Amino acid sequence: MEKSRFMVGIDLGTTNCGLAYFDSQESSSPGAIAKDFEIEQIVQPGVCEKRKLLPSFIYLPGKGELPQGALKLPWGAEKQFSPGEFAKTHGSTVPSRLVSSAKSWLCNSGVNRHDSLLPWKSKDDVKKISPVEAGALLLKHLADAWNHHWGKGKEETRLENQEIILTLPASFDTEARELTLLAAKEAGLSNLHLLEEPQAAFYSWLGRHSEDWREIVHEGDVILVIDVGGGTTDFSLIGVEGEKGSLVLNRLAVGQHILLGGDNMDLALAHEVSKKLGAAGTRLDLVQMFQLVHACRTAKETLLSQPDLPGAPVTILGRGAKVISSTIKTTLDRVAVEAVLVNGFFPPCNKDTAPQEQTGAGFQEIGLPFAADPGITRHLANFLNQQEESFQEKVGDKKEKKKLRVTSVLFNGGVFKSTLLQKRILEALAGWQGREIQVLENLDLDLAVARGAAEFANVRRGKGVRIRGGAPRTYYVGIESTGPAIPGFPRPIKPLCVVPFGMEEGTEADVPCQEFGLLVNATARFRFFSSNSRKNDTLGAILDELGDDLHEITPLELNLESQGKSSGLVPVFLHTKINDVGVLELWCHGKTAKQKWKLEFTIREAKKKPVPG
Amino acid sequence: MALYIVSALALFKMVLLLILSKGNLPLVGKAIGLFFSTVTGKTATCETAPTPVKQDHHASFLWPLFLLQREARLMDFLLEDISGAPDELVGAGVREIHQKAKSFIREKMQITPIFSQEQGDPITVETGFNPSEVVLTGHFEGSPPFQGILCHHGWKVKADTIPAIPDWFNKAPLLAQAQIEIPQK
Repeated sequence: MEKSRFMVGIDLGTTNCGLAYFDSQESSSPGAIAKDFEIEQIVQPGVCEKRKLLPSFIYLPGKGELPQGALKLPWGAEKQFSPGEFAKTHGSTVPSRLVSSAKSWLCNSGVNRHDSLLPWKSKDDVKKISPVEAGALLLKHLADAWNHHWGKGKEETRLENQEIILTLPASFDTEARELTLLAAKEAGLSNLHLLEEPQAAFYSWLGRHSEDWREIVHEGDVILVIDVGGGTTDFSLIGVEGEKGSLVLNRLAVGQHILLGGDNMDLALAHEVSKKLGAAGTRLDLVQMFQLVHACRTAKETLLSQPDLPGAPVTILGRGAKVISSTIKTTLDRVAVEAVLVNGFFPPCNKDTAPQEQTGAGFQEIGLPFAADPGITRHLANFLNQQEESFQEKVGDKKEKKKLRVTSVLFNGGVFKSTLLQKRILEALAGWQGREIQVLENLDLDLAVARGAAEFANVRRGKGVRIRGGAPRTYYVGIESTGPAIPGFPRPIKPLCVVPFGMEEGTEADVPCQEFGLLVNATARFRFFSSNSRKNDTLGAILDELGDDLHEITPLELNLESQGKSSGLVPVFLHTKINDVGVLELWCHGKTAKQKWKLEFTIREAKKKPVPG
Repeated sequence: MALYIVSALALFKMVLLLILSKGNLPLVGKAIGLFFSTVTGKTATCETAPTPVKQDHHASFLWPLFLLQREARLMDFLLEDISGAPDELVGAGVREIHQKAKSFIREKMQITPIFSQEQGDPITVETGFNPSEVVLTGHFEGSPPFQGILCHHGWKVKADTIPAIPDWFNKAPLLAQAQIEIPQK
């Protein structure tokens, strides 16, 4: 493909989407950051405005609910859905018609993500959409807004013809990655690359410090990226290593998917205040509850930035026309913020703490596997503990035992606008490691991911240093072991490593192991696992047992329709490939070149078909 | 457009006035009268004999009021009888309304003073001053320059991003929509 004019970064977030770009026709100085594209969207009925972020909410209006033309965008006819600011504000008062957190649903393997199931738990009269469709609608909106601005009648500036980097959580497994790509494809964006969000945030920092980063981080440093977004918490470790006299960056590890974010915090505070109001006999309706969450967020920010205040006022204006006389006035006390937010979400804890497993407070929405333990510090301790073991063998030129020491932290996500919460993390890390941690300043907590993604597009063109990544986790296929069947006990599963940690993009390999005999014209299922802590298993290694450090992903399925052959066994072996985009493909190869079948996730019932070789 | 910027500004001033007057309604009434007189360019007597406004003007006059009501509940506030409400509640409510109205106005309009000098500073009114921007009071004779004191630096709007009036509003302009909540079955 010829080099496109724009290099575009898209952050498809759980609560907000952003788009940033570099224009190759403009000269840029070192340290220049990507420009934010302002996204036109419906902000209230009939009013379309440009905003830096597109809230990742989609509203599905009822029949005749809104005046005609109220949801019409400048680039097309009125649709039966509306993404963005209006969806977020109006939708929170009509929850059964609001699609939210679609991204978290995209990686929820407990449901079929092609099923029309959002909004979750809403009644049948609402025309529901699938998590994949929701992702596609948001991306389509971004594309339409871009094309309305840049692409009018000009093929070469349309979004689908630009070099696009789409970000996703580092914790997304291969299936969630594939579904994200599928959503992009449905939105007409098929020419793109994927990048992990914490890496994107780091690229944004690197872009700003393209001249002096080597003076800020040094050989042997380990950088921890903590990305607490609206709905998810994501950790990554990046190592600074020396190679032939220059510094290189390696993504060392990524964390598990933790459904816990800034929105939980505001919601938890609002529930705390509403409990207090409830005790005094005041009940809030949906609109007031929405106002309360807003008011609590403002009060929280006041309290976090002014440590001397004992409390901050929370005012909810009267719902009816009597706005003053039915105003509800209360306060958010510092004590509550300390207890719920600071100690609830950022509790001091030991190095060896593991997150609690039991169900947490009552602010959870049913359906999504929210983290049971709200303690972000505990999740962090757990993540670092998991990494410790494999790290000893990974870093150091002579594979000497080396302790995992985080030397620098890059915070990302709106939550960390509060330096008090940053301090909590730093204190915990300093306590565990016995020394102070350097903070890499992030000036754009909300926009760094989109900007960093655009920066990465720049890096791909050879401008700047690239973080080496490869597969962020190890993948296994479950092999049913042979042996006598014991009634009541299923045969033990032995995991076979099909993708070793760090396997690079654009590479492929045969899995060295015995052949399988596969029955023709029948469906073969493979159990599929991943691990983000076992980093030393090599391709083809077979583990003795299924340990706790392996997580099961949706099973893989192969429908072997062989023409000309009626039945019988076909000998096959596994072939693994990580394509350019960073998506894993598993293939079964037969004896001849023509016999080639791709393993698909079984969840895609509707699209089940063999891929011809 | 200019008309409703003026009206929005004037309303904002009214809120300020109200805060200053601590809810003293007669004072506010006076302010409203003054406001209308400024907008229509007529004397305060027009209160008793309002001139009917044309339909398109109607929508463009109501639209910023509708937006301020929507964002900050401003019309509810101005229409409410708050004489019996406890000061504490008025204080809390007004602060909230003020903050919301203010951030809306700040976000939608680039507002700057006409004069950059401090209020209370001596100032020279030059020959050819713009009478649509400056109101002279006190004692002046002959032609400028005049030496005076800057009592109010004035406000002008350099740019605004107030959204265009949508069709549905143009067809049926109003101050606030009714709200009905359907309970869960």
